[in-house]
Amino acid sequence: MSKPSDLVQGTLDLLLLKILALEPLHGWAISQRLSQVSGDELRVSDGSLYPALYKLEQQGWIKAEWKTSELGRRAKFYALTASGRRKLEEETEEWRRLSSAISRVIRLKEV
Amino acid sequence: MYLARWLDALPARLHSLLRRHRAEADLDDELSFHLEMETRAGQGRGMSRVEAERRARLALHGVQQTKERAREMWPLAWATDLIQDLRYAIRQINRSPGFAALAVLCLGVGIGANTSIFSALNSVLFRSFPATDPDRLLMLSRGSANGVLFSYPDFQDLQARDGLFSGLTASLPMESDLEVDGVSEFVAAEVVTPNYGAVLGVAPILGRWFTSETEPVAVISYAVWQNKFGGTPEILGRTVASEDQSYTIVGVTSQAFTGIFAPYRTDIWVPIRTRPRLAPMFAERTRRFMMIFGRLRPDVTARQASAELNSIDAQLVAEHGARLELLPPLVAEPIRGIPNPGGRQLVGLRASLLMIVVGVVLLIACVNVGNLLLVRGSVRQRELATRQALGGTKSRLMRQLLTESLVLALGGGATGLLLAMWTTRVLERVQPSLPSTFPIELDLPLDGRVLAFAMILSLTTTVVCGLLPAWQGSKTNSVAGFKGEIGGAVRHRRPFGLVAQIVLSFVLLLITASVIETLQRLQFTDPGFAVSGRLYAYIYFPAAPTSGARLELYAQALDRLRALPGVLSASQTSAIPLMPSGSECVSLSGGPQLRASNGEIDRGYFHTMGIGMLAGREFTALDEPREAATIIVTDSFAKRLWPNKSPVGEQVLVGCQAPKPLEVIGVVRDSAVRTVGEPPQPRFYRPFARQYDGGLTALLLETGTDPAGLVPAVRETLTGMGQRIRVYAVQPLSTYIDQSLTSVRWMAMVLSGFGLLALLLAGIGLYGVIAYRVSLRTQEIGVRMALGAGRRTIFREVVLQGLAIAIAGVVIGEVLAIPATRALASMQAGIHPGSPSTHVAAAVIWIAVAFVACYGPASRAARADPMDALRHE
Repeated sequence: MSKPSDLVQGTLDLLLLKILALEPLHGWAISQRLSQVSGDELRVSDGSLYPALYKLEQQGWIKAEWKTSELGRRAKFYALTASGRRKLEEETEEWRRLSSAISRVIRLKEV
Repeated sequence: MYLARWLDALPARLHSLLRRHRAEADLDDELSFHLEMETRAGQGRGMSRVEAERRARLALHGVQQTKERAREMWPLAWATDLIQDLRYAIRQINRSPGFAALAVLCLGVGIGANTSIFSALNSVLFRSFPATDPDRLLMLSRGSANGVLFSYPDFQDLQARDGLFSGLTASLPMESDLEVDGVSEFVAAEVVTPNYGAVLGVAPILGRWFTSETEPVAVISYAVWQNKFGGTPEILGRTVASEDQSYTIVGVTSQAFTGIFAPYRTDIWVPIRTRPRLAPMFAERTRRFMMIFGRLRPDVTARQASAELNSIDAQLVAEHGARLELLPPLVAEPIRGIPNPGGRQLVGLRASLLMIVVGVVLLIACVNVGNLLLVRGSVRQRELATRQALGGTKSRLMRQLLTESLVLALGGGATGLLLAMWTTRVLERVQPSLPSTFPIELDLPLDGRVLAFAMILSLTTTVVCGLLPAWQGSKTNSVAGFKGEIGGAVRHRRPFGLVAQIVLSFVLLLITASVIETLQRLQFTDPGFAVSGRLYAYIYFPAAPTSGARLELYAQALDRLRALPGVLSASQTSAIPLMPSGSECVSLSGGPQLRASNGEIDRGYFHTMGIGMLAGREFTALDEPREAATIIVTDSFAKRLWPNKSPVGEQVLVGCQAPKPLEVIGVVRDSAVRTVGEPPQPRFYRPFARQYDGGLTALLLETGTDPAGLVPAVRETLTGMGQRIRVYAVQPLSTYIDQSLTSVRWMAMVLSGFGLLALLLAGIGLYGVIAYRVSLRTQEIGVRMALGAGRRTIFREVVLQGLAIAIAGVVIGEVLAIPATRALASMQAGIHPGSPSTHVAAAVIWIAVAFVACYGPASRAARADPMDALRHE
């Protein structure tokens, strides 16, 4: 069973923001996109996805809108807000710094 | 940035907060859409619809669970949860009102008892003084209990040199008399400096405080105004008399302010220079008898004030020569509780002891409710399992169960407060727990501190009695719960809570029994002086011009009484036994000083009081002049100072500061000085006439008939003397000795109440658990009966099970009781650890209670119908 905590803290948020930055999607589509882009490396269960989306929505990074889906049925589409877009930039920057720092540390060990 | 995000988040937050139903429906829709999509995708990969649907649900880790976790992201989730939990808890309580009532009552009694005792403790030790801005009102002391008293010259010097107080005031608390319309009574009085009211910050409800040191005016207490003057609004300008001085009433104090000598209630305040008799005392720097209070200036701290007072004190020592005794440094502190250190100690000690007792009662009540909750928890396993299956997380389930205990505890707290409002009124009225001649009044308000205490107690109670059951409940295994596998675990759980409860209540029972035993013993203890057939009266001649003339009148009074038929002998003393009397330092030359109490007695006293002479002679007229230097000592006094020889003819130094050599002329038997039953106290006697300083006298009569029958004749004879004689308290000595036991009797009464309460609570607890165990075993019992087990076997088995628990509790309690009763004995003089028979009696009582508690469930088990029991499943 994989919970959000299995990922590095905050990583799931970053992934979700990144995916939604491309286009507004509903929950199921986000879950599909997640497994497509990350393959089997990062497993995010459907059970963890919705609480994470709700949290981002309450924090104002993303907003939801009910639209008709491909099935002809009403579905909740999530999209990035303006502050969500800024948050994504910050998080990406943060992530780059962090991962490069970690890589440096790891390389250091190999020498 | 922050604002932008906040605006972005607003619609979602408002939506989930204000349109909860809509948000719920959206959540439903969203997840069902997800499942639909996932199912279709599965079907696309070649799965059957059913299989695809199952997998979709699995991937979501339970639809309800996911919903629950998503909901937690909504704002104020905890608040909505709490409201939900509260609603649910109230529904649960409505479902079993009997259980809830029992739990609320148990907790209410416990919390109520604690709150009322705490209100006493609060009033004596913690409450701030009922004055304006009490934090700036400081009391001066030198640390110890006697250190609150200062001499008048010291006060004057401190007042003249101090610069940090806006005012310093001094008060001399004393016993005095108050005469209203010719009827005179003993009262506590305060002789005070004119700025007293202003410094203390206690405004009178009528009139004013004093303006001069000499003006013959008085302020009276609210109680005197109500009781003696019927609360008339035309009180100002009326006159009262005290110590034969007439005073015009200029003020009445508020009901909340009862003087500085609580728990004794001051009834009259007079200016400092209106008592000529006290003038010589005011002149001496070594006679310390006044309490000093000061009001701090706004920009000064208590620490600065203390430092300044000490530097003045050092100057005084330098100017007036070194004092004979080294005094501890001065401390100025805000008053907490009551200022009188003796009163604090007396009442505080008792209240602390009772606090422990009621704490134990509450603990028993908590264990009771905890047990009941545990039992209910196991009955509710199926329900809890359902809730878990529907998405309740462990912590959520636990929170819910704790909310239920919280509701019960708050109900208990409210009940407790109601009970406390009533019991504090009763305690206020039933206060004569201290032997005294004047009224005791202790205000027990349920102020903020007491309310906070009750609140904290309720919350603590919630945790104490609810935590274990809630934890047990949240551990519910949904599968086992559905299969109905309950009971097994409960039946085999060791009844630790139950045993603990029995131990606690048994220890309380033992303590109660010890106090009652002590009380009984005290009533039959020989105090060392004759009690039956003795009568006493206090008299005073206010109009006598000199002390000598007054002594002469006392002698005449004694002669008249001796002539009464039925009076065998008569004598007088400054204070009858068990009344507070002074003490002095005594020593042999070059030896260490020890404290001995002193008595002033007239000729014939030992004969009248039935106290035997052991050696030497009694006082005669030759011992009465001021320059005579003879004393009579008690047996224990003699044995302390001269262990190996007769003291008659020996010299002893008497006095703490300027010891004077006195010659021992006789030795008498020991008799009780402060309390009946105390170990013998060293005491010495001096002649009444030699020591007389102008005050009252206590006449003691030995009667040949019932002393109560002689009271009218004695009173008549005395008032017949005229001379404006004051006569107080003509009554048999036995009445007074009996009153001196009120303190122990009061403790016994209160302790018995709490002891029985604890017994009742623990008995209910035992009954509840045994009854529940029997109900779980109905089926088993039925099977065994079907197989031939007799009803008596079943009955015996259930009873023995209960008795085994009770006996275990009693044995452990017996072990713990030894230090507990010993601690009690050290707190309250005269109480001893119970005798073996007391211990046996307490054990028998408990086992009898256990039998009664088990009888019902046992006979129900024995009546079980095997067919019914088997059909049960």
